Amino acid sequence: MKTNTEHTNWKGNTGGTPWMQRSLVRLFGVLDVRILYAVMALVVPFYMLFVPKGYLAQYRFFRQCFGFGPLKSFRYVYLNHYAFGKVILDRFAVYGGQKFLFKIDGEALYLQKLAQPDGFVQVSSHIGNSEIAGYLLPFSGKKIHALVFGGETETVMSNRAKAFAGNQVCMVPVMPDMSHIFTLNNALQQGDIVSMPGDRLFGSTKGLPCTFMGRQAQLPVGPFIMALQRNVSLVTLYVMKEKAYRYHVYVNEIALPLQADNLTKRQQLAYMAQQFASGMEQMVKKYPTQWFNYFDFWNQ
Amino acid sequence: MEQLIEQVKQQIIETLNLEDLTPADIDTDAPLFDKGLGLDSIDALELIVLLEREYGIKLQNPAEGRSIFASVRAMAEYIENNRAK
Repeated sequence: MKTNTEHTNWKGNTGGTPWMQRSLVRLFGVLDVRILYAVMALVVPFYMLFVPKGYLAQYRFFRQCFGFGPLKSFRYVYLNHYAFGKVILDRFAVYGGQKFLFKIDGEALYLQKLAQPDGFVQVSSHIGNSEIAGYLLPFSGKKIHALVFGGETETVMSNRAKAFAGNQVCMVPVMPDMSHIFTLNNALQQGDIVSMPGDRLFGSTKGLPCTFMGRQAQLPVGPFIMALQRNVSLVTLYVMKEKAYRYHVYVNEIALPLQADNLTKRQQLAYMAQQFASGMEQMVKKYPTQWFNYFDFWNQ
Repeated sequence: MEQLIEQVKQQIIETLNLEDLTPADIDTDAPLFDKGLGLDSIDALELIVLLEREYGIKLQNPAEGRSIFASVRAMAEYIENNRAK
């Protein structure tokens, strides 16, 4: 495990003022998202022009990880920003009450995990639209406790809580007093689901080394150690956008190898992190424009 | 109590893989988190599981965490008063 002192206070919050966010939610209760997608397509170039930091991170991502030329990379940066805009709009559409269709690969596995009395850790990432899954997936009486950045505005938190209430999704913000750890630990002991991002270091800055897209990266220890320490399943969930009002969900399980007893705790954690990184890489290669980490991921 | 304090220090070192430290290096009254040992929320989870596994103590109240893990002495006192095994 490596501790990194940089990037200790990642501000992965949803943009816009509370007034803007409230207005979007009202608007989305009645408006077809495709109309706003069209507006978004026109807005994206200006966003790229005036917020170049994310643009450059994405440009380097396509150049270095996919080996695209400058023009193709630029086009993919645009498509990436456009895709990100669409998943954010979809998120507000969910808050506003609109319905989406989901195709689920691995539904049997998910239902099997739900049927077990034990809880499990669901590790998500900032590709596709993981949050929207909380709106549709069945939970069979299990509550899902989703760890979120503690700096979201009251409007976003309140709308999330409202949108997810029907599916028993509880938001657990990262708190300075570490109370979120107790909440998540209690949730697993009660047989519930704990959802944690596996691709960003926030809360704790401890990282696990892994290879992602051919380069060394650090993944957060949190979801992996939570599953290992509580001896519960670790499930990966990717919710990828395919069309308007349509998502494709991929569910998989990360299990330790049969000889895991011969491995140290550190080796077990590293194994789990690498399995997650490899799965995430497959997904990013399949949906290259839905990689939404707008910073130098390999140096976090 | 002193014996328990030494035992807790040893368990913290083993649980958190603090291989460079010995029990003598850990100040009994220094904060475990932020300053002092500089532990963070992931370490808190490991300590929660340690208390459960070694002493049969299930910590469920998030508000208690800060005071229980304030220092090795605070942790040992809590164990002494609440241990189930």
